[in-house]
Amino acid sequence: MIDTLLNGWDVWVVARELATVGFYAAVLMAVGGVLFRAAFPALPVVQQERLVRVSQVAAWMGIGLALLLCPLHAAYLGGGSLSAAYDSTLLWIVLHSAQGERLCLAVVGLLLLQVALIGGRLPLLRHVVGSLGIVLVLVAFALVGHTRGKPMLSGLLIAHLAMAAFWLAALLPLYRLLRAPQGSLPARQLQRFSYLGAGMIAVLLIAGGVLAAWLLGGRVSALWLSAYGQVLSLKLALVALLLALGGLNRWRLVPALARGERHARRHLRLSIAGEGVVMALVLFAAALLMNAGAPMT
Amino acid sequence: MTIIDCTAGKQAGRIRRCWRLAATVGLVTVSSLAWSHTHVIATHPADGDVLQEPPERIAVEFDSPLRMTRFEVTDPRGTVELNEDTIGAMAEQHEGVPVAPLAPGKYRVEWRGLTDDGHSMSGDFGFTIDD
Repeated sequence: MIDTLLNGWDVWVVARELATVGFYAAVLMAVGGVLFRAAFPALPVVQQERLVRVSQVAAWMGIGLALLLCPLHAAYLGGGSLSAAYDSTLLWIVLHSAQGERLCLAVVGLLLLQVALIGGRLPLLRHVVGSLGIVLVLVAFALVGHTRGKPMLSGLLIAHLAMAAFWLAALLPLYRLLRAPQGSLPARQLQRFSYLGAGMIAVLLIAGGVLAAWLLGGRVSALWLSAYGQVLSLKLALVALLLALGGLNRWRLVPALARGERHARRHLRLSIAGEGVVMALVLFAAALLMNAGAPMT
Repeated sequence: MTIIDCTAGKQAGRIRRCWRLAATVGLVTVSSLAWSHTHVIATHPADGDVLQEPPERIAVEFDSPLRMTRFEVTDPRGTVELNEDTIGAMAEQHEGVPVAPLAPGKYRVEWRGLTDDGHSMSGDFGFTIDD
């Protein structure tokens, strides 16, 4: 599997894949940060400020990585060389391709979504502009690859990504809440996240499941017979692990914390840190899938 | 009785609407399945060919348009000079004609390109010209 996937990789491909993973993580973190802030307006002020800061840093990292991806795509298309990275013809081709459309739209979206994060007057207008930014960023993802030009599949991908972004961005504030001094822990916030999480996971799984079935051409055997299916299987296994950790949190650790059980806070913190690590691996698997052709035909 | 009939009619209507929706979703999905991504359908010469005469042209064909960004033919002496189609044009075929007839030996063709949906692709093939 690894041989097939890594066939044709050189230093430029590795750099492009790493930049892509970083771009995904930064963009999802920025989008998720805005969504999480809107869903949890009662977060302590300190946590809100940190969430805003993290989301802004993520948005600017996403913009920086989008700009870096243009020369990296050009370098690959030119045969893997530094001179190709700044070749004006190749850069023009990248910017006028689906990849270029995605990067430009994502940059505009990342700039706009930050309007929702700044304080001040006209809160309604700020939220409308921020929401528009989120939509643009998520639509940008659907412009490249198998979902391009397919409204139904694009909608599923957008729903899948929005839920994944919310989940990813929630981990850091929840982890920080658990590090807050004893007694100041808003257990209601954790329970609210657990309840919201159920609906969020349902949308994530349904949208992801339909997309996966389509990409595999409706053949379950493609999960182990094709390189794409094997990486997808790995991603599904990681998602199952994430769900197991989420279930452990919801049905065991959050109630234990509410009952004031000893060590419950530490266990929950460890579980959330574990979710963060698994989430990073899921993003890496998603980037590997980009390099493999789906067996849908 | 009337009420029951009326409810049954409404239910039948709902079921019909559900079937219509399911059929629409199914058709959209099936038509999506029929849509394919770019694949190589032929190369000229074919991969692994042993030729008695130098080829007049070297080409790669795809089942849907691709924007070729690199097309390089090499032999042990280095890169072969070609008169080739415009780099970066969206086409189902990319062709290069050697400026001078190719000498006997082993040749390798490497290409890279970008599909309409933003996937970058690469490939190679080889052929030999006999002494």
